[in-house]
Amino acid sequence: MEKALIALAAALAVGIPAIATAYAQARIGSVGAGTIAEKPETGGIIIILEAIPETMVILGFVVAVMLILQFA
Amino acid sequence: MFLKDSTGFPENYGYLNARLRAHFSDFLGREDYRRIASRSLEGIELFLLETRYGKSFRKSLVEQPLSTHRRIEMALSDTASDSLNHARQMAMGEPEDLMRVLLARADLHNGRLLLRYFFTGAVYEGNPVWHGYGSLPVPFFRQLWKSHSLSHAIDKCLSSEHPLSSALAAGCSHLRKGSTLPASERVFLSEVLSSLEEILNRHRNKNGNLVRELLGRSIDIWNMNIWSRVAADTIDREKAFGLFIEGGFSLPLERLRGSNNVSQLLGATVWESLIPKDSGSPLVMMPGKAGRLFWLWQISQRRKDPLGIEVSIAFIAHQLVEWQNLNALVVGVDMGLEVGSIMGKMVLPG
Repeated sequence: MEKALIALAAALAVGIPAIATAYAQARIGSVGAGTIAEKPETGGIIIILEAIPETMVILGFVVAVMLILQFA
Repeated sequence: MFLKDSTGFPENYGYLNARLRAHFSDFLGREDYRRIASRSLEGIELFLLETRYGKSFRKSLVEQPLSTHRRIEMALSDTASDSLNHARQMAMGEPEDLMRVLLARADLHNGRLLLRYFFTGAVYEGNPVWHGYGSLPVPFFRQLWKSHSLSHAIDKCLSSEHPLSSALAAGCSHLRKGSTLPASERVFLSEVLSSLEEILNRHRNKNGNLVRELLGRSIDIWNMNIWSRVAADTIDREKAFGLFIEGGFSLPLERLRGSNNVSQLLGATVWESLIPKDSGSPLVMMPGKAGRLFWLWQISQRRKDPLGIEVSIAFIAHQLVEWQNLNALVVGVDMGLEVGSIMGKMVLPG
């Protein structure tokens, strides 16, 4: 039972940030596509902006690993 | 699907607005206008050749033997229409529908021009400057212009299944029955508005409501125009009441019918700033000032919501204001007016 709860906690720690990241990236992506279409020189900045929300998933992943290592 | 419904599909706005916002830097500023106003017509031609108007200007230079003034007029019209059509092509989903409503002002302009033409009964072989960014194509209006008779024009409008051409047919029919020009224009406007309302009914959210507000403010200006004529005793009071259009944003019909002076009419409304400080200000100027205020309100929407219809509203208004300003500038320079006097006739945002 305890193992199942730990697995669920780890899944939530990755899953929720992943959904939030996808939502943020969808918005940034469409706006970025529009910006690059008009000003191609902004491409580098847009890629950085697109990658920033990704940190949420990475942090979530780290938390999930810590949970599993701590309690498994 | 859930996200699409609950958020109004903001990705559509994200892409469109990013592209439109990038174009805001292309618009001319106050200093640009001042610089152009101090030139001659030929100087303005040279200036335009260096800007985004250059392409259309070269085209008009090559294709038609026109006067300098007319050539500039055509280049301005073509560039503005191309820019607005391009903006509409970039939109999809909800923004596309709302853009269609916003750009229907071209059909309104063209339709009213035709009604006035038929009302005067004059025959003019040339073509006016059509607004080419509406739902109905410019060749359609050109054909109507050439028809020279109301019956022919009505048949042509009815043969097209577009709701806006049916609205124009209704306006023309009223004119044929002997109605006055304002009454016929009212029929046309009402029909167009009800057709646009059908589109807006599909979008009952913040963006749809803002476009509804914009239409409401346009109706306010029409009603204010009629009211100012009544107040100036240029049209009969009872007849004028029938010309008001329902659905204004902040001037309900009861207020329009019951107000005896400008303060009573406009006090505590979005038009309050139009109340003149001195009583000697002529009433006929009021709709013009309201129009200017309306443009500035539209342009001020630019930064309200980067993921909403606000950016499109501001872009369209900015483009049309620039067109209007440059036209005023060309006429002013042609007439030899002072720079300050020309600048006073422009709508200058910011």
